[in-house]
Amino acid sequence: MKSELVFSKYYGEPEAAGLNNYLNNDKGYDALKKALEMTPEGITQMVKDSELRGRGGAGFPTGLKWGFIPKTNKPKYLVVNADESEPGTFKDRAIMNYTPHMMIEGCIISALAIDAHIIYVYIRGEFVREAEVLEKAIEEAYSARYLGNTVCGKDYKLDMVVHRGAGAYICGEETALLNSLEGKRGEPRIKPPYFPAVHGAFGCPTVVNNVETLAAIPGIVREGVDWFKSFGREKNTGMKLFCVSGHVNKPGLYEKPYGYPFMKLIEEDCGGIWKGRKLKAVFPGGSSSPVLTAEELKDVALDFDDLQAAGSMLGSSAIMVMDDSTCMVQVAIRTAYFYYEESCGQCTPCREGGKWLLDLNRRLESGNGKMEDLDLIADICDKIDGKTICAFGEATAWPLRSLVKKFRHEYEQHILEGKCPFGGKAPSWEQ
Amino acid sequence: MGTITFNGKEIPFDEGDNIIEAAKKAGTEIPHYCYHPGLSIVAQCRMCLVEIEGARKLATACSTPCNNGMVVSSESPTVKEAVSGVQEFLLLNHPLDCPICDQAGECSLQEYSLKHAASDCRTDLNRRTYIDIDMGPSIKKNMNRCIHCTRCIRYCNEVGDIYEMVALQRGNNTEIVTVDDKPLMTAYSGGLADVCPVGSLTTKDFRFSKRVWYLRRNDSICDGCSKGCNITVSHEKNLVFRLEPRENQEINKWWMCDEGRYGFHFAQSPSRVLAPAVKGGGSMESAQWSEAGARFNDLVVGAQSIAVVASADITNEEADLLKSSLPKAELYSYSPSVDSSSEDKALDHLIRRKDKSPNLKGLEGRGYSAFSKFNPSKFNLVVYASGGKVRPPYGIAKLSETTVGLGVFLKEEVDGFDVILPGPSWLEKEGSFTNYDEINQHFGQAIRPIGLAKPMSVVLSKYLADSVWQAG
Amino acid sequence: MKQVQNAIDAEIDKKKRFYPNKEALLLPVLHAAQRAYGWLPHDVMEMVAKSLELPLPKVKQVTSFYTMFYKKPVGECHLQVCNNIACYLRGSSDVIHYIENKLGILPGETTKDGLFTLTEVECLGSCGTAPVIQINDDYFESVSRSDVDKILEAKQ
Repeated sequence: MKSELVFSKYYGEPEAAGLNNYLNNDKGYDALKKALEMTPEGITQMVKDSELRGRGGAGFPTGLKWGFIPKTNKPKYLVVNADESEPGTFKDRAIMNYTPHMMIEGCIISALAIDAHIIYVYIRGEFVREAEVLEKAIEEAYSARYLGNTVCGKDYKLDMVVHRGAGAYICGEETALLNSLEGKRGEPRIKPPYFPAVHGAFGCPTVVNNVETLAAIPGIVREGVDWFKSFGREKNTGMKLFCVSGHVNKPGLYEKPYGYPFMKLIEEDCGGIWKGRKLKAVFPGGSSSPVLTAEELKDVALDFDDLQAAGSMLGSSAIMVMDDSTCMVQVAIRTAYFYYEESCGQCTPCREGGKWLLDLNRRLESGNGKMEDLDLIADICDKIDGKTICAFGEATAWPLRSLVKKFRHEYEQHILEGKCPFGGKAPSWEQ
Repeated sequence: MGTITFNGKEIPFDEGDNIIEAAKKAGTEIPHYCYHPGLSIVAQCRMCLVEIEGARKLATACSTPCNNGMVVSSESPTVKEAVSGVQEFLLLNHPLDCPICDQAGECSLQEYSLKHAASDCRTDLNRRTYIDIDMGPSIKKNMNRCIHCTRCIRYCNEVGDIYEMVALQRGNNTEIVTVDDKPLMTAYSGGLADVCPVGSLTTKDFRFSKRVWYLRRNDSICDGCSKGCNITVSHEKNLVFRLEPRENQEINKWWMCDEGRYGFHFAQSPSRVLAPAVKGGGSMESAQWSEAGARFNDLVVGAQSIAVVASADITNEEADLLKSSLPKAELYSYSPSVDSSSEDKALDHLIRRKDKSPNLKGLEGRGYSAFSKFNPSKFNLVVYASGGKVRPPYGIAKLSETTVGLGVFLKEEVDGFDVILPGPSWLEKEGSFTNYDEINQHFGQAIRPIGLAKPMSVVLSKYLADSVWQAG
Repeated sequence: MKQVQNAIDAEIDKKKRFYPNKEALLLPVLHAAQRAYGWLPHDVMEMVAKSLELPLPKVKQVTSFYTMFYKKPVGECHLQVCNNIACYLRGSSDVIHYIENKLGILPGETTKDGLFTLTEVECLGSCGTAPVIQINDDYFESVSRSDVDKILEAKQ
């Protein structure tokens, strides 16, 4: 498979984040100069043609999203979703740390395409250092006149500001993010409208794009659609950052083309499962994705469609690997706790059901569960799934339902033995 | 205008109707908690989930406007399953303390449990509890019963135009509180109990006084100010227990103020004069109706000049009656807060008005002059008619030679009167008030006259000699 | 308090040109105020509310939603240990116990000397280098026992 490091060329090299490196070694801002000679429609069409899909989780075609922006005199906003909070995900952080200018250039081109004059980078509050790196890079871009009153000397005013979140997973949901940006509680907005294209930030047309999505834009514009599509496969185009964590020998960030074989990534790139153990299960797209068993993963390729066919999702390409010593009920507790802790509390099923799932899983782990709890968990998940304002409901239901369905024997073992068959102990700290 | 297909039937909708409203007009209630037609839509209780043909997911009927040709079901198995799920979630942490909850009998949670929930309980886990802080004199909070619909928050912000209730924390731990645990300051606090669909917010005034299923309800008009809010009177065994607002889009929409809501107690005050009384040796003494009536007639017959001072809480019908039965009398109206309706004004953005009497406009229209023009020394008999809401001007009975009180009085007010003829409060009679905006509103009788009170028409026709009526 | 007000004013001055209304400055200003004061007591929130012309209840409602706005004082060294799945798989439960034992406090508590606060947090977005601890603004990745020892010793 054709491969090239686009996003992670400087992974682990903070000194590479400067403007000079980007200009001298990476054809920095050449794409912007090219885009300035294009019409907004032309840029959008190019992105449409590239088949670039959003890399925050949902995989919605980026160009199509831009196309929803109406032609009005209202201000339009580009909002960068740098909230990166899906458990298991750490790719956007790497982009912001080591190649911030690639994202900034992508932002500027996108702003031109949708006629936005302000770019808000909504970055999760914990990323203090990343925000600093980004702010410094933005300053450099202002000095070099890529941002400011006249972008590259053209009559186009463009501002960019980093807006820090303050600790709320739900703010990664784009309408919650917009509420948070507006100084409100980060509660998702009612759908429809499904996209904030018409009524977004401050009631104005808005596009919300993920960091990695935007960082992909300069390459598409500069090198062309064909170059971009030469990586990956149909409808799953481009190079992609995969975040591997958990029980592999070499966890970390891996840049591969879409469609890369899952087992190859684990066995070859990540050095296999640690301690000579066997692969048990994987969350392939963050903790919100249904868990897949080793058996199900055998022939899976890493792209949107293949993982969907396997019964899960690529999500934010956060691959969390569990070895055969892992207690899946404990994993379920960790997962349920997260969704309990992070629910905004608006919708009844999510607010009440999330806690119920946590309590049931805790009881099962303690050995005091009942057989009927297992069907109850699946039923609670069914009653949350699709019944809430935002996809947080699904994010709660999918992993927990898949855990109880696919590892039912393990749950039953907890009940039958009256205790955790793994000794009730969490994985140990090796270092 | 258009139609949607709802549960297999074609039903019309008006521009701007959501599915709940269209269904309501067609006679079907789609269950809901957080939706209230007078508040913004948040779609968060998820109780009104419906299936819309062609939609990927179930949709909330509150947040979905009707579109011509839309095919909606609130009865499909998927919807029933989802709705019973929501109901189960809401009951998960609810204390189920209906036997000691004042909302029982008019509680949406209770009602929908019967209609939409499975009958078995699948949880034996501990329920969430909160510690409640006092919210002031009007409202009692019980957060354990709360279903987090946020109607109260929106009510404060959007109706009360005040930030007094907020949601703190998030998720399962969300708590609805008054800001910094302060008592409520809004003049519309009672409405919180109205909008709360469960027993979380109840009025201290009504709490524990009566099970609601014993109550009978009558439509009425509030007598608290010149606004004329439409209300419902709840009563049992001739005792009134509470007033609640009744929707009228032109006047009060869905709301009423605390002053009006809690202002009815005068009618059931232990110090209300409930039997006729006449002056005897300096103090008032109870008398038979025949004796007091005869004394009243004698005073009227013997009087050279008579003034009728009507507090602006009597009905238009009573005002007409006084005018026709005492044709020689000069007529004055009395409102405590304004001299004439020209001084009346709105006290806030919503309902409350400066004129704290319900019928000044009605009296003015019937030729009653402003109280400032009343010169007591000109008259040797003053007939003071009172509906009860407005307290008589201090010392009114001492200003002229003789004074007759007609209507509702408290014991401490009757000193100096010559005769008191007890009459019904507005709850005990029918009639009409004309509000500040000249809207004439009729209201019915909710309860029988209390004590020995007699309607004014009976008193005037029975005890006044025919010659008095014909003197004009 | 004067310096808190200064921090608030400076943040408003720096950022207001980017936003169509003052309300949107709430999160940035709360961050600035917290940085200046250490946490967000009633008086500071009131200051923020006044500076942005917002009702105080609104500020409180928002503040309480976000975990990074502290409603009570935190130690000089705020140890935020991620215990989400990826870190859990790499032993974060042990990390928490280790720190608990070292400092004699449970998650959510602060040492008596006010030096350390231990908090169990959800995913910090550094899963490839689990387990991870965020201490104040900095991430400590792939932490070992000796790393923790060093961190604690340096502060004590």
